[in-house]
Amino acid sequence: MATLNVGDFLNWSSFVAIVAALPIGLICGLLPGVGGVTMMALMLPFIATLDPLTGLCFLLAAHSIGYTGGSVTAVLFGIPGEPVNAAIVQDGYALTQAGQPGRAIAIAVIASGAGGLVGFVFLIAVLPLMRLLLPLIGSPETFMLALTGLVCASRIGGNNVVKGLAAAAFGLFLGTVGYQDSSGVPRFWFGIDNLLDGISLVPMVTGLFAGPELVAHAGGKYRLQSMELTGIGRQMLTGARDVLKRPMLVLRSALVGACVGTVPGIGGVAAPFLTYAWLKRDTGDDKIAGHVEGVLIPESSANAKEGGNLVPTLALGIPSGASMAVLMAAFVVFGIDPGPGFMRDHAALVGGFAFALAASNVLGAIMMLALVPLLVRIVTVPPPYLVPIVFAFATLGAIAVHGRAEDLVVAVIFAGIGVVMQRTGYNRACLVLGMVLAPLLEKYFDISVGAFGPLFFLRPISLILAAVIVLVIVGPSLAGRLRGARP
Amino acid sequence: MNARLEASVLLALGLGIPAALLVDAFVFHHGLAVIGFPLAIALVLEGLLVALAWQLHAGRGDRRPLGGEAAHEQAISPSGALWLAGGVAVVLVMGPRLGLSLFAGVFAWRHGARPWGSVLLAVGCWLAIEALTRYALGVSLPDFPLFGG
Repeated sequence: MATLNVGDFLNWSSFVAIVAALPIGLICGLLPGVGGVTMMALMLPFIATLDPLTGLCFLLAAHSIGYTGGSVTAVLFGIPGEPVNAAIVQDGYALTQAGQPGRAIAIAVIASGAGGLVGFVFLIAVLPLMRLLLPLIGSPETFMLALTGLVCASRIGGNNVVKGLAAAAFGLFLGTVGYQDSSGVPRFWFGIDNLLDGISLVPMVTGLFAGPELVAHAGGKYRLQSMELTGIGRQMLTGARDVLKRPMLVLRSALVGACVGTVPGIGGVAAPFLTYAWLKRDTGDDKIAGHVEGVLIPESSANAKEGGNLVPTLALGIPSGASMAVLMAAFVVFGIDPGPGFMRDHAALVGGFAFALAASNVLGAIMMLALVPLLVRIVTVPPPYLVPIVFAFATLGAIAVHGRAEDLVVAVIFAGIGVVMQRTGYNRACLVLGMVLAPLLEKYFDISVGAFGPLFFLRPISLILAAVIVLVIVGPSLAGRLRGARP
Repeated sequence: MNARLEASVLLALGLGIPAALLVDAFVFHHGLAVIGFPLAIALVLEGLLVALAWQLHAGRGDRRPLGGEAAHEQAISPSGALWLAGGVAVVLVMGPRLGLSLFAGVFAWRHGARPWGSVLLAVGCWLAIEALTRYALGVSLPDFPLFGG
């Protein structure tokens, strides 16, 4: 990497771009379906007139804060802005229902900011090394890692791992609907044209999570209406204390998130789920402590993964997820060639990205904390006004991505599935993760079998991951039996 | 109630997924190269469903919803479902701009909001959707989609 002066990337225009991106990213993040990738894609034409460093800093900062915006709706209404936000729905929304939305959002914002900073440090520390290490992770390892993420996610929210695995497998099956990547043959479309491209993810997530809540709220079972939001400041302080009391947990979650984020293909979505399943402690009777960890772990992991995501994107020109693919499209818009030569030729941009990541996390956390008292007031809006507003948000989120009214039907179907899953204790987040990972699993499975044969998993890293999968599935029950057998 | 619902879920998945595979194999003539991966998933899923059925039968099934989900489980209300179904139908007929505004106004009015408040909400909703979609995001939303609009 070429020698880099701080002045090359630390300039006013990129700083102003980052500050301007924060409110835009937050608003987009608050709208289900508009956050993240969609928002980056929508902003591309606007930034094309800026200089590359300013424009790309804008995109990265908006993307970074957009994720936190999606967490706010997940915490307040149980509606994740993006699939990746689904990891905190259960515990974040439970805290809101316990009358502590300020605490939940403060935990989410501070953990997210801290995770983002760890991601920044990870990025500048690992980037030079990654070009040596990444080639060790081939298709078999990527397949096994995706499988590990899926199995780990099955432990989220309860002890019935079979139900978690069944939800994940059902998600995988749904993910195979539409054109097969390798052959281009459409599967399970049954003559319905809209299924040729697969089931739309955003309407599906919106219906799955927003549907059950809206049905309950519209029927007058609105539990939040009588909530007295007193002492928001005190709640925020408690939330800040919750994070500060667990510095090592934040650090570990962020490091796991950043490491998983480096894996091309799966790092974008699986990181918070995997970290949650790995690090969440059995909190026994103390449910609040469990919910605190359930918000803290995925949040710090999810924002740290942004640093991890940038590593393969910048080092090798391999996007680690959809958002990084859009970022690479922005490179092309600016006439920059993304690839292994990027770090050598555009050192100032690499520094700018790291700076944008750190600055957007610090400034974003400050802005979000200032807005917490306002954001939590949303839940006290009387139900006759709030329900149609949330319904409008969810409907627009479902429709706006492709501008198709048919997507609303998809959202309605998944709202029904969401209601049933909620009533019977199946994990909805597992379903989403399964659907997201299905094409990748199939692709890497095909490549692995083609290149290494059916015993492709007998490679060192793959074997370790297979052992992790077995441990995640049988470990807790085995430990329980051992504890029970002990005199 | 939950046990019966759980049994229905197991039955629906247990029969629905093999049915989808059979249709794809025999009606659309897809071979193992195309549906091999979903077939493998289906086999795993069927195995898991058998395990769940066994749990349910043995009375060791997790009859209550899982901890995290149970923590914020809301009672399902038929009237709420009917209201939302009506909202979806209005949006499908009139499009999101008009449909959502109309739904917002009527819902608020029928649930105890003052008439002027309901009208204000409907107008505000229409303006917000218009500003957000047309000007901020540049997304074109269909009006009267069911009639080809």
